[in-house]
Amino acid sequence: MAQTFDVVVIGAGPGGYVAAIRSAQLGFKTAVIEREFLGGVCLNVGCIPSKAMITATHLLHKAQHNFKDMGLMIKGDINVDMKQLVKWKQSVSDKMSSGVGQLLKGYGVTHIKGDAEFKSSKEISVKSSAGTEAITAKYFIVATGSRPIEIPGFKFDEKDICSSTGALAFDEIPKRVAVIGGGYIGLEISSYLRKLGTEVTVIEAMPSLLAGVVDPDCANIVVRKLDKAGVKIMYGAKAKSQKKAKDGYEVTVEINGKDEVVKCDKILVTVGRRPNGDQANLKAAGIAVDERGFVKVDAQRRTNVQNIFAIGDICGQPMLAHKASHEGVLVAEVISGANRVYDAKTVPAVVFTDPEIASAGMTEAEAKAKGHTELKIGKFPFGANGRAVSMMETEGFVKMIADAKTHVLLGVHIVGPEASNLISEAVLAIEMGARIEDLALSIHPHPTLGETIMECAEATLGHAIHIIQKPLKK
Amino acid sequence: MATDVKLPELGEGVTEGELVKWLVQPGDSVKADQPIAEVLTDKATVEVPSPVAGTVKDLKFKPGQVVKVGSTMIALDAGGAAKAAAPAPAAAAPKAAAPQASTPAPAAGGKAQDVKLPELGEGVTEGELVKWLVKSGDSVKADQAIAEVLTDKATVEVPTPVAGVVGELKFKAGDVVKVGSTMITLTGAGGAAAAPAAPAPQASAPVAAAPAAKAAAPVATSSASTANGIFPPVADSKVLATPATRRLARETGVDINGLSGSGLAGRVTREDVLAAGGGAVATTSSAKAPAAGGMTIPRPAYQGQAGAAEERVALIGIRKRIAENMQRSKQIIPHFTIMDEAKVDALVALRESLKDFAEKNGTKITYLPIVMKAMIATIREFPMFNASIDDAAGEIVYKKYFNIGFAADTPTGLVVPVIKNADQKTILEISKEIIDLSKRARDGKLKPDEMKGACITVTNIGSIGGTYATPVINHPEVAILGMYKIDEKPVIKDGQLKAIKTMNYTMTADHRLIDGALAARFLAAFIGRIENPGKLLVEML
Repeated sequence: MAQTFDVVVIGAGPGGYVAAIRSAQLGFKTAVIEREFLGGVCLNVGCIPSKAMITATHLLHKAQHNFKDMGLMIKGDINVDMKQLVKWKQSVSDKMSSGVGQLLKGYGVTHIKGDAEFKSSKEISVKSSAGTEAITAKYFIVATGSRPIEIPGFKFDEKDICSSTGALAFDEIPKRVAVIGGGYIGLEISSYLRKLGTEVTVIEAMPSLLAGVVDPDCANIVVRKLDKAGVKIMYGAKAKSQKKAKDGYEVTVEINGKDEVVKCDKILVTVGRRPNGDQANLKAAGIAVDERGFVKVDAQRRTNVQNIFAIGDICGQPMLAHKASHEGVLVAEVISGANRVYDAKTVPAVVFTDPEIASAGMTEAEAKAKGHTELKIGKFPFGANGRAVSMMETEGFVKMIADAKTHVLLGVHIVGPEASNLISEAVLAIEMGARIEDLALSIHPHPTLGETIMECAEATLGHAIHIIQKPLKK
Repeated sequence: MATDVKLPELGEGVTEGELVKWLVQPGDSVKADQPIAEVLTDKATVEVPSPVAGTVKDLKFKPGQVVKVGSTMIALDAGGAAKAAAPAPAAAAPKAAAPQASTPAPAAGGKAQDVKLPELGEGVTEGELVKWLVKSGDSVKADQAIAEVLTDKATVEVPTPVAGVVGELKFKAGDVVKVGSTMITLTGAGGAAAAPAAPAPQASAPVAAAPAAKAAAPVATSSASTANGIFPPVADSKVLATPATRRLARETGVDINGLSGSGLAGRVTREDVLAAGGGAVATTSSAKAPAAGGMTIPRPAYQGQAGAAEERVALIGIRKRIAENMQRSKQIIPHFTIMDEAKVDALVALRESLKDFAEKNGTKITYLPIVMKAMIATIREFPMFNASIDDAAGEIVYKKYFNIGFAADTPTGLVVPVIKNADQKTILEISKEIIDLSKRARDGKLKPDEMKGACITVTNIGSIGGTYATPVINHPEVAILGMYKIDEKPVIKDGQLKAIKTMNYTMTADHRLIDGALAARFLAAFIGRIENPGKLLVEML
């Protein structure tokens, strides 16, 4: 006898588990199927554990570089116990993952561990160690996520040739790492590995890093710091092959038409992620998948099959956890009969490099393309902010882009300390249709990093206090 | 020489009418007295004639909008000899403009002529421009297709009403064009493709974004952009509104893209959305004037089954009027209905016996006129059924005349023509009148006056089906009599099983004036006359 539910969510990542909880809150009999771990990539091998590693190495870096100036004297060397670090990182993930389990239980969501496959638009089968069971539901939410892209000749073993998953589990500090792909994942890992003392070579096919992903001015700050820290970046470079050498590996890289060899102990491939459209037998339900493997959805995240929805990485860019969670809530509410569509003005993006980059809204190029012919652009440096100075983290700036005629805020780009936490204010401002004056006139507490938002708004208007600007032309 | 054609007086006390449809398009040449539009007033559709001949320049209103008497409806380029018509106030005396042999006066001498997006169908207010079939500088013939426009799943070709040279294309493929917006400007006469004259200053192309005169156009636009009644995301559009406001708009079925915001920097506020959705927020436009009688009628939003197949069309015209009337009646009047059965063997026999007589007199006698007569006789006994309540004055009005309304089913919905002074007409006369009124009701040709002033209404659903119903009273009347189908029934009489013919009747009354007992007495007295039609003869004045 097949178990039957109102809503079955496939995948318990940041999209799926949120959709399941919201469905339960709305009174649906809900189940969530997860083959690996609650919280998905994000909580277990992505966002959360990487942040643990970044936090620890950031402190290490401060201890090595700032403590002396601050008068904090440490006897002897600061050593890293990598096994302990990884253990601690794992405990953070475990804590979060079990927290999701508690929430699901608390809301009465049935959690089924196993691998789901569609049999029809109304039925799935779930394979687990206990065997196979059939489950039927009125509605399905496909939240099966994405996986790292493999490139030819670099098959993941997650020990020496790794995706982000393997990289987060190194139990000793690697001496030399070749990072193929200078996107945000590659750079985050490069940043913290470098702080642990690893020699890092980034092999990037494009002529610049984070191209088209973040504001180029912001990317430059990070690239400069990587350079200064001794990270080698090869631009316009293509990793062709690798072979095992006497010690470690040799990666053959084609650059400027010539082949070069990068020697390393570990190879990290972070060229992007691909949606798992080829899994869970979506065809059996009649779900349309595009040529890149994304499930096709409409503004309500409904697939071409009336009772099946798709959220998160599986349904399109940007592949970000917070977008997935938002869609999870949205879809549960649509199923409950509410008139909802995905209607966010912006999905903020955050890169946990050193310093952090965060952005919301449009870049200059996007604003121009959207018909904002005249822009007002302002910048305010963290160097002029008291809190940043007291933290000894003064690199970076806040940049604002507004429509020159209406002063409506179009985009905010931050590179600097705590950029990831500062961007939320910008998201709210953009969603609320704020004008630059709204930000300038809201009293921001002193001394905080948040003041830079207010000051940047003033700079955009041409009269920031803590930087010297040319007088306003009437 | 431009003449404004205004909406003339439409009848006693009528101050406005709803534009149902245009009968002409920009560029058409009209003769004097030619109807240019259909306007709906108080349930009657009247055709508005043009007092003079000329070429239609532009249409000032869209179907569904309410036009005040005296408002300019169209601008006419009157033929050369036309007087600079001091707008004749509502006098429909055709101006002695030497009626020209109506050749369309081609916009000669570089005269610019706007080609607008015509009506595309019932309730369609806009369409998406798929592609242009002409380009700037092309010469076009009259009736040549200039563009393809997509409306709710159908692509239609838009023709130009006149010949000329295409000036500027006002929209790009992919733009949503509102009905009535200028699509192109034509210059010069057709044929000789003259060097396109400098585009004349635009007449009055409504800016697509700011709906000009957002008079009474209900905001529930059904457009190609709304699939299943779900408005697409607006985050990407130029509209400024907070996430909460955007959600509110979606929930109240308001297309936020069509609103001009009253907030800072043109932000669409919560109040703007509520006002557009008919919410309880006062607006400055007369559009939301409360329904007659100073009542505010709740206008709840309809939340569709998300994604279910639904289609939205504007609720306008007769249907809207019926909806308003029914709702008002139900809100004001505490209805109750009493039902009974009449034995109608005698009545059936009477009607059968009169068939030939009626035919000789060129008509057909149905039960309805006989029922009316029986009803009038009964009302004389119970005058309360011929009354109305003047709520404003707090008085009961007893009427000393007998105008009987009867419900007529028409393709556009229910209308109620009235037999005036039915007490003074013979059954033959009433029969003829019913046949005539019914036919014209179906054709939409009733005059407003023919649907006014009923004291009480009869509804005859029997011809369609049903045993009993609880009809809605036509306010300010206080009663409605329903008649149903004739049936055969077995009865036991003097120990014998017999078949008799029966007919059901209902009396629905306004409980404020009429109590159950009174209604029961009325119905009994009425049925007494139906069962014995001879009584009618005896009572006759």
